[in-house]
Amino acid sequence: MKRSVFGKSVRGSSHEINGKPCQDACRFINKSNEFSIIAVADGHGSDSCTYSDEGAKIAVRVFCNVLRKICSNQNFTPEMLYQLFSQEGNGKIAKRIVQEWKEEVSKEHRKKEREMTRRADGKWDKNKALKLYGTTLLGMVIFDEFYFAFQIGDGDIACVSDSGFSRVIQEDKILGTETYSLCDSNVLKCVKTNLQRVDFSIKTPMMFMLTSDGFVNSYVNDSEYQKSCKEYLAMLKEYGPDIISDNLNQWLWETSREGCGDDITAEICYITD
Amino acid sequence: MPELKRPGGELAKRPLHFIWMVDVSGSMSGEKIQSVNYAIAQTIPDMREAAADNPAAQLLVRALKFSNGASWVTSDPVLVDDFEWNDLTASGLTDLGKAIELVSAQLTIPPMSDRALPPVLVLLSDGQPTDEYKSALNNLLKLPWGKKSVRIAISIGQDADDEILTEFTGNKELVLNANNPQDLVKMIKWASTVAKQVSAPMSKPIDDTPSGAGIAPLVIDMNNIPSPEDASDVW
Repeated sequence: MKRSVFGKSVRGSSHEINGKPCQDACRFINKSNEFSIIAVADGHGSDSCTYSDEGAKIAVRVFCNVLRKICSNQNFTPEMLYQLFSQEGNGKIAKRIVQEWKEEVSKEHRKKEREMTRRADGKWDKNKALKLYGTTLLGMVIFDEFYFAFQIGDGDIACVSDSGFSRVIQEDKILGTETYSLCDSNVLKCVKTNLQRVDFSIKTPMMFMLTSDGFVNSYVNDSEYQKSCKEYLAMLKEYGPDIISDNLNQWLWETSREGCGDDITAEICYITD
Repeated sequence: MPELKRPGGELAKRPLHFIWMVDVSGSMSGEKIQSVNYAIAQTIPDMREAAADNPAAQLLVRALKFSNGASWVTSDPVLVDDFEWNDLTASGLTDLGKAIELVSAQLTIPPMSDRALPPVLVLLSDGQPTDEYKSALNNLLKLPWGKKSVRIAISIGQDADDEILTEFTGNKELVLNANNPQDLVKMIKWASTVAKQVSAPMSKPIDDTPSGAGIAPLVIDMNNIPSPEDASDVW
């Protein structure tokens, strides 16, 4: 099984107009003969989340680091890792990702000597500081035998093959502009995961496509979004991942400009025999 | 690198519905309805300009009037560039409940899309409702888009019932008092700017949103709400 991974984040056309930075981030680790880890985060960008671009970068870095440490453990076979994700994916592993994000954000906040709001008892209001870095997080780890997917907040994880389109995680659709966030006080209740054994050999060529909500929000409706995902796979099959990767930036920029104007990230894991 | 044409389906801006709900009961006749007509017509160029500055959203405007019953002045949502204000005249009762029912029917999915931005409802009224408005309001607030809507009320003159208008907005600060023509123009102008604030492409953590029935989502900056003038010529 060969896995090719690539992704891009583009600054939204509206953010170009109002001078805001890109608040999306993406990162991946691809050990094609072992596992692939991919992560996408979308910083909220609202006034109460001033540093959400940094929060998003920290989120994808933490996700990749935590999963890499788990998956690189030489004492674990893929089957043992499957069992581990099965028992702890929605519990200890999710908790570790959230905890490390909070620690990294707090460290960054102190290092940059940013505003420290005090509570009535005089102690530092850590939750208020975390809110400044609020972000969503989507991620996957993919082995030849199974995948584990993780999601907090909006965005989409799509699985596309010749058999069609499916969502790896069914997100709770919240209308409007609100979303679940890594900075929520009850964030662990908002974590969604999916662990699946897959016989990739009968599905390839196929792809997983992780996108921030700017992507789906740019299409006139969900069926046009799904159609797009299928067309991305068709293009991958025709031209291969290198050429698609080279074009992705321009395509996403056009999608934002003609669509919802938000930052857009797309990260793709293309799997072939 | 070969430059390939972008794959993908049909793209579109996110729709933002902006609805004027105008009380045209008998007590609004004369200077009040003239001021409303003047002020809304004056804000249209500003709304068009604001929409042009924000290419991320498709601003769709429409208006309804209510007195003895309620009806749409603009039957379908119209792009702000094509929206024209036709002067209204006033007579009859104040059937606020009927007006809310009319709006509610348009906030279900469909005809609303789930990818829309929160709709903005601006209610202008100078008096007490003469019909049963509570159940209509409760039904509006049960709708997913009803809950998420940004509701602003402009309370015209001394006889308007601010408590009822606060029930509609879910937030006392979003009831704007206009006791004279100058204030009315100022408040209508401010209400029209809310579309720009709502359409900014950003998200926010759900933790930031106050919960509970009738509480408006605070997606707008209320720090710049204009204060009423201390004028002598009050309605």
